[in-house]
Amino acid sequence: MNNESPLLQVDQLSFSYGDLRALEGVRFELHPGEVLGLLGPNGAGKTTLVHCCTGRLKPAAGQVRHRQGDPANPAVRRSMGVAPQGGALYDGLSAREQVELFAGLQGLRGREKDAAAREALAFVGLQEKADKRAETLSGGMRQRLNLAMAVVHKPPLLFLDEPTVGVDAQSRNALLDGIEALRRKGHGILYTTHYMPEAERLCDRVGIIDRGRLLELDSVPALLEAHGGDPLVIQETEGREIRHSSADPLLTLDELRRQGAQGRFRVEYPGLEQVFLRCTGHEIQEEA
Amino acid sequence: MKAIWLLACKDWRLLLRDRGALFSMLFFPLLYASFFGLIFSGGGSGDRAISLVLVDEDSSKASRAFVADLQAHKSLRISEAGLEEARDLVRLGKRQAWLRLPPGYGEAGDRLFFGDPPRAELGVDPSRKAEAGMLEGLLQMIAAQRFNQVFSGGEDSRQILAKTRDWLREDNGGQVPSFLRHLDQFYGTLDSLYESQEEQGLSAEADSLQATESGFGGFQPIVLERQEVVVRRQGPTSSFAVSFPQGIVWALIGCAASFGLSLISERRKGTLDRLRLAAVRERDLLASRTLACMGVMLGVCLLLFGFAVLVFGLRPSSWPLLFTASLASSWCFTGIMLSFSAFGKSEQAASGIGWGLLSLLAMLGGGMIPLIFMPGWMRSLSMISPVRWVVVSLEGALWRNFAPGEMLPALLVLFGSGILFFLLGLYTSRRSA
Repeated sequence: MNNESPLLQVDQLSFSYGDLRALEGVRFELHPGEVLGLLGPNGAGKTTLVHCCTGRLKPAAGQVRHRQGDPANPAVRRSMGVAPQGGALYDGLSAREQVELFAGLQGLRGREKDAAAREALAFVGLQEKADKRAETLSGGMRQRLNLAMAVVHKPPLLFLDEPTVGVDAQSRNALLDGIEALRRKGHGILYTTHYMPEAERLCDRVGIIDRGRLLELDSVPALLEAHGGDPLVIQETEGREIRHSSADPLLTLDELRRQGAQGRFRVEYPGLEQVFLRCTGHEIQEEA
Repeated sequence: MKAIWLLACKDWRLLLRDRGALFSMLFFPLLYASFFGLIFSGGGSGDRAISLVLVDEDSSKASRAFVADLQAHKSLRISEAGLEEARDLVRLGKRQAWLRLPPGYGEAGDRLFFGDPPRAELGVDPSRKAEAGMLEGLLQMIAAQRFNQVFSGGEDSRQILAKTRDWLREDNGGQVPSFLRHLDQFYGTLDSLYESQEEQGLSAEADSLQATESGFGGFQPIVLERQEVVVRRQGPTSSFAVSFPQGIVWALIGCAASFGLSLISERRKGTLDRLRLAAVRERDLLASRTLACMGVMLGVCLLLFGFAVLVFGLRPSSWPLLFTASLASSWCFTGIMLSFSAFGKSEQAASGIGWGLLSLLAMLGGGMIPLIFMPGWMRSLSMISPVRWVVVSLEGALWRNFAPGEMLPALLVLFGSGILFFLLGLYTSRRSA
């Protein structure tokens, strides 16, 4: 965590769709060079939270502030980039045309705009496909284009809403590499996902969000320490699995062997899935 | 301002790549206007003339003169043939009628007011009953023109008079019967009149004023001095002047539907939200959409009229008024487009409801059946449809010779209803957002 003033401050944020409480008392800060992950199932309130943070939705209570001011102000929005869920692309425009359009809308002109568009396309590895229309691109390429459109004007604050949904493993790795590069350049990134391994790999801090409430927010090791529980020693024998919870798996393995236990043994260390389960009382895929 | 222009360019680019939209807003209206224009024009002015085969068996001076008069008439298309060939041509439907001038036609024609009148035989295709009546009237009229020649003086008139008087005696054994004596005296008096005109050097073709001053000939029942008068046309200059305003209506409907659907699609896919998040102001989004839609509508209007002018020779009575009418129509349908986009949350829903309503407006307003063919009650009902005012304003500039003041009510209705539709669309879309 650095000591610079936060790029984003969310304080006691609440929002409702009619009678449905979508967010309640959400509070966090996002700093430069930090990737803050929001982990939760579909319908947990992640996208609503992003909409409130970007000024798209007006909070019912609480406050959202960017370093430059209120995100409801269009001028403040110039300092942020958004890669919405599902891409939100113009199928009839080429990759270059879309990136140039958004560069132009963010105030870039002439050569500066062209250079920024080229750089953004190269950053996501789409320079070869620059003149292809979006409708002809694969799912992974479309998500990369989505990211290029969000970063073309080099905003300090980025909102990436489930950018890897429907993306193959190769494209996913390319995207995650790109996001890590952005973090190294000092961008602050709010990243929503329901994929645990992504959150573990990318995020400096992870927030567990469920039914509109931010249940926990901390670094991955701290979350594991607090909610992960003990590692599991798993014994596979005669088609069955016997689980032994243990703070010291090596000692437990020794004891099992001494007792003459048969079969294959493996050790499972707790991950974010266990954290999520303990925090919410249900698995993340339940509502997905 | 830059954002508005960028977004409008984006819309135009997307539109140009959408073949379905291009078809509905440009090619379909063009086909519609051209097709119905051609149908109602009857395929050109040449085809409207009655085709007549002449069989001149007399070959006299009078019959040749009659044939020449027929050939000169623009409502007839004359060819000549023998009797059998003429009958075959009509029987096979290649010509509409045949006319035989038998031997003796000219001689009979020269006998003024006595003896048998000149006779001719007419055969008409039975499937052309309407043309048959018109043809008989035309032949009577052209034949009657021969009498003008007799009473116009000059050498030809005197020859006819002399021949007539000779026949009058020959037919009666050298003596004029008492009951025809007055006719003979009339011919003599007329001949003396023409003779004295010639002695004074006044030919029949001489200046009518001189003739009047001399006290002889050149009689006219009334002397009319022709004055230049601008007459208001009561009908369209061509069938394309009726079909192209209708085509424009369909083009405007196509544009409104295409832009409306693309707006719904943007809303559904999230691109509209993405633009908002890219610091584009709400008013800029609205202005860019209005600019793009109006620009395309106006462009399509001008393209279609340009096509009608170049290909079908349409001549608007006022280009400035035509431009103003196109502008007002485009504005009105831009408002309709915004309302259209609020009809449903999905493209399918909006397409179904929107096209239904727009087709109803087109049907009521003269987009399907021209206003001039509608019964009175339907014309009154059409007042509620903006399509009617589009058609009226365009026709006013094309062939109704509207003065700016006469055009004003239609323009006000179009601009006013455009504002109403605009506000309705804005209200509905904000409410749904």
